[in-house]
Amino acid sequence: MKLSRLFWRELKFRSLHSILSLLAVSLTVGVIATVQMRLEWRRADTERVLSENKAEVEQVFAKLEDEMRKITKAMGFNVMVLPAEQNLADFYANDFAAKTMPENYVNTLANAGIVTVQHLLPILQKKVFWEEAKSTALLIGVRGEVPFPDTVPKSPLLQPVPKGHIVLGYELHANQGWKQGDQISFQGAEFTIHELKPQKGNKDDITLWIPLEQAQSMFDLEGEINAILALQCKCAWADIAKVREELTKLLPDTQVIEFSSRALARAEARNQAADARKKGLEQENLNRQQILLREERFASTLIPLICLGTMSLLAALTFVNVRDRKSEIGILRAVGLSRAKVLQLFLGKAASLGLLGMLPGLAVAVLVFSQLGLPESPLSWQDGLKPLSLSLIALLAPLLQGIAAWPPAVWAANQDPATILHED
Amino acid sequence: MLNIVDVYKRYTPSGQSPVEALRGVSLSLNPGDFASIRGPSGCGKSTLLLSAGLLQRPDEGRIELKGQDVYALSREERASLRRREVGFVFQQFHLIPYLNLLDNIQLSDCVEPEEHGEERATALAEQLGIAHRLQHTPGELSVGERQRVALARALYGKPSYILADEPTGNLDPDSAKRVLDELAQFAEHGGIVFMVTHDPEAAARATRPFTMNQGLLETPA
Repeated sequence: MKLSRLFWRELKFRSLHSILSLLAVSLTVGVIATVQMRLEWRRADTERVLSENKAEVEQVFAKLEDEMRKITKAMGFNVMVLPAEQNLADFYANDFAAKTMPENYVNTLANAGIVTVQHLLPILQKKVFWEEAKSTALLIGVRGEVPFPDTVPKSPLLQPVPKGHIVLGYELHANQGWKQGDQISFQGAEFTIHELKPQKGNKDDITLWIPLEQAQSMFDLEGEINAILALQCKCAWADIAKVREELTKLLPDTQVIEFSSRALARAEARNQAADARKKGLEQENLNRQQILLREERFASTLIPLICLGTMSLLAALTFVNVRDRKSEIGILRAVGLSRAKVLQLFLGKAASLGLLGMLPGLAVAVLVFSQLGLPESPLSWQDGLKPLSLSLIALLAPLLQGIAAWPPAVWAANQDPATILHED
Repeated sequence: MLNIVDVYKRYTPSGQSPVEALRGVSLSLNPGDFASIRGPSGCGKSTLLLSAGLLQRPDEGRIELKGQDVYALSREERASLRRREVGFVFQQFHLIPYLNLLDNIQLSDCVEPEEHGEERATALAEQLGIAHRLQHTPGELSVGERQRVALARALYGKPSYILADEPTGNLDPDSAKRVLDELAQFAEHGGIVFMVTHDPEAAARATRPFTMNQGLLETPA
């Protein structure tokens, strides 16, 4: 007669108690395993979506970069060389550089043979109040493009303004009723209108262009300019830093900024589109993560509650079992069973019931989970089956039973056989 | 061999004043002794029996088995000693309801298996006239048969002494006689029987009859 035989016979004898305990364990394991499998599935699905979105973002940006390279290379960029000491904040605020630099810098650039730069245009730019027209204007002194030695001449982007002539922006001429060829006075000097610009809706509407030499003379800045426009740089958008580096290497006391290029506008538009797509994906990621978090919170509340409820039930059942078996405990102690063995008897029973209840619980959980409607996803229900999680749940069952049975088992072990046998 | 030396035991029932169950009881029993103790309810008979059975530590005094103070041993050692040296028979039998007769007889094998246990258990069942019921559970046995199973269980571990608490209390005269015969036979074969009873006829079978009153043991003149 081994203790195990005693255990199995008792299990069969008190079948209602055994079935209740098994059901409690099975149900608990079933619910926990189902919740856990769903959570694992959700984690896997979220991970999949995040990973796919990340790949898509990377793909979008890679494609964008490639397209940008191709597109911007064809379009070219416009950059402006300014004196190094020019404060850019002031430049952007005033629309011109207050500082100047030698005009021959443009020749240095032209002679250096920079292959990426297609057109070079030195200018002297000032904001002025046109006394005669009672209007603020942006004056640009231009001399036309500087030719590149040893290269085939390119068709110029801008024609030079002939000496003694002036080109007027729309706002400057529209209210005056001037026509091409009219003689007008600007800051005390006489000019013939060379061209009247149509309305553009930008700063060009308040700009007037005169020959560079005349502008330098007007402001006592002979031989000085305050910007060189390097137009249609044939390079990819991503290579613009190289152009900037190349230019500033040739002219160390200058700085280079990018301005009003179509490529830049296109790049920005595409960037915005890519950013919008990225934000959309990020929002989707966030939504997915929130759903996962909600399910994790639900599980982290539900599982302890279920465990607590089951443990209370199992503890109550074990207390009842101990009470019903007091006479047994008395006689077992009388025939020499130690307190430790009595403890082992009850804890062993609890752990065994835990193990026995765990198997059908897991089986039912897998069955229920496989039939459970899952959100649309390429993942199948099998993706929720994580061996580690299921193993932990399998261990949890006998552990819960053991913990729940501990107080009544200790109570059983501490029963005084003399009192029991005397009472009976 | 079993010496009870100046044993005292006091209880304090809840809400009541302390009760002295044993007041300096001394008794020495040797192999072959069949001792009986009679006395009114609450006189301390069962307390003495359980103390002698290594189940209840006295407040004062000693209980010695083969010269060893049994309450000087640890709980585990005492449990082991109980398995080897003591057999119990109770008025309520204390059989385990879901074990068959054979398993009930062999109950002490849970602690330490007896060599050729099943053969010995079967032999005891035959000796006590219950061999035809070996596979039956206690619920399927008559009261007399149950007490014989309890007696077989007590004898199974080849104890030095048997403690019997009202062993015939629930039995018809024939069954009672059979149980008493077996106890007497155990004593005749060198065992010690220490029986608590209300039954004068049962007490008359003892070779060493005692009475007990208010925690004091008296030897009849």
